[in-house]
Amino acid sequence: MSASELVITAKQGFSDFELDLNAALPLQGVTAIFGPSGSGKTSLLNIVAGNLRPRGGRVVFGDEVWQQSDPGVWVPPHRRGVGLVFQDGQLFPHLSVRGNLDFAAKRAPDAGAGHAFRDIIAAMDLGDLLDRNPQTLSGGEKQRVAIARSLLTRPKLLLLDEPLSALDSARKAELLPFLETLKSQFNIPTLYVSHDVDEVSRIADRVLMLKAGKVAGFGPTDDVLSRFGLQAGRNPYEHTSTLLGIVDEPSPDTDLLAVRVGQGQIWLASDLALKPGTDIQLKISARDVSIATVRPEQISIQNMIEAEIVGIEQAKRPAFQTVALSVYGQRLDAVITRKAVSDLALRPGGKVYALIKSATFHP
Amino acid sequence: MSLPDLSALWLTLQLALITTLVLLIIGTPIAWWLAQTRSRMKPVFEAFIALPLVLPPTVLGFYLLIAMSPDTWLGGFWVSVTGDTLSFSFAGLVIGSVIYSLPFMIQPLQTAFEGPVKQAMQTAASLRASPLDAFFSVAVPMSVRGFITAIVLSFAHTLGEFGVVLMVGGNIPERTRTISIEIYEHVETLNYGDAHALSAILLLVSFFTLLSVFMFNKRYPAHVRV
Repeated sequence: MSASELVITAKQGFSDFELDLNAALPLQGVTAIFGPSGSGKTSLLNIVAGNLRPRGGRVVFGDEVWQQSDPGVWVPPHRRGVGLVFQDGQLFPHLSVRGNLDFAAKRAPDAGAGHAFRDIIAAMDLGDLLDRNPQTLSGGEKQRVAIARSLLTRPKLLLLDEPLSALDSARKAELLPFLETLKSQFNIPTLYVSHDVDEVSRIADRVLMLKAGKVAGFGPTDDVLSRFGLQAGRNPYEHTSTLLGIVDEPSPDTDLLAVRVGQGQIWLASDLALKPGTDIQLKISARDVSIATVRPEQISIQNMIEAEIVGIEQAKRPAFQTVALSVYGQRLDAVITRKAVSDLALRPGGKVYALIKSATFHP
Repeated sequence: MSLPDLSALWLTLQLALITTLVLLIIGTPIAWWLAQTRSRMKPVFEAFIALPLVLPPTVLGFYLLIAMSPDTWLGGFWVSVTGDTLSFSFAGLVIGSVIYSLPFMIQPLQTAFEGPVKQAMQTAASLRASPLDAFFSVAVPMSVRGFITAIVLSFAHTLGEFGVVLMVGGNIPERTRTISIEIYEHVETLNYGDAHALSAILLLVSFFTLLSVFMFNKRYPAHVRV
């Protein structure tokens, strides 16, 4: 076994899924733990941090054994030197920002050179926040404090549990550069849990792909992402809009479910026989929405609905723009090319037709 | 009208203070255990601790009196160590009051220790704080309201206790005669003047104790997770 690997072996049944992990991760750079929710990403972090103790599991960090069953070894969480940053930062509410940072600094081991308090404050740009109360911080600020607080304990390993997931897209864009700083300036081996392709492709050196509690792939970021047909800017789990609708009277000859959204109607292929009048939530990926300025005819897309443009902004990839539409008062996003926006002369206030290629739904 | 004999009031305050201190020391670890455990026995313990809320104090007092008699191991042990019986003694009153007020200490603390505190303990561990360190530096300050509520409820509940004290302690002046028993005595002997005075004192002490808690809680709001 190499001295610079984190080896994790764990097998445990949970109420909703079975975890069966076997991984050796290089202790170098950023390793993304990637997969849909419920795939076991957070369980893996908790096993490494020592918050979960699967029977018969084994965790070895370099040449330190953290968990082993025969002979039994168990290093409790506070002796592992693992910095764990949760989704919502988890700042201590009874301490100020400075108090939170001091809490960590006081408990850092003396041995070994660490980064100075003020370097870390500067890197995370916390100078103006030190005397604030955590409850008054924005989501992104909380995360920066939480990351700085972890760094101050001089961790041997950083675990970031979806640090951006609680933030809206503008805040995400603000925080991402800090995560890149974290990587380049502090060089602490990091496990980064995420289900966002964009984040992973920007930050991770390699990806451990999890599916239903098992390792589905492991390797350099681009290899793994392309093997699973994932690419930045086309996120399988995010940027969807939600439209609320009501199930209409069925039309037996089409085998389709009719859903009323405002005065418009959307057809869905469904095996579920839902009662007319049922409320229904439609999840529509922004990629599956096209825009037409006149009502198209002779087209296979059946779902077209009148909409008004309320805003246009740059999407994540330069060639694309996000067009925010209002559909009978509900927000529907479309991601289309910048060229299309200019060719069709789309602008806020314009009346258009939204063409919806597909939708998933939850009654 | 002369001032009534206040020895019963002092005895009661002493009893309430000592009971609350004992409860704080034994109740905190029990509440912590209940908040953390995944044991299937948890509901059994919870039901047992809540018993004094529903049981008539006389029933509780009766069992305690039996348990404290010198024939039992507890009562016998006490006699062999102190040379005195546990029943009809101040120490016996403290034991009775501790059991009687146990739920008033444990339940607010258990509630405070559940929820955000649990996750905060994991966070503290990832910041290299040992469990004991994290308990005092994170769990306790995050649970200040729970502690204040628990302490005041236990104190106030012990102040007003009657049935258990009467059963276990009897009615021995300056030893086991607490204020509620003294008032009962005055009423029995138609000495309404002293009953009035002592009742008013107990009423005011109780009211201002509770008032201070509510004012404190207003000034020190619960930690809201945003």
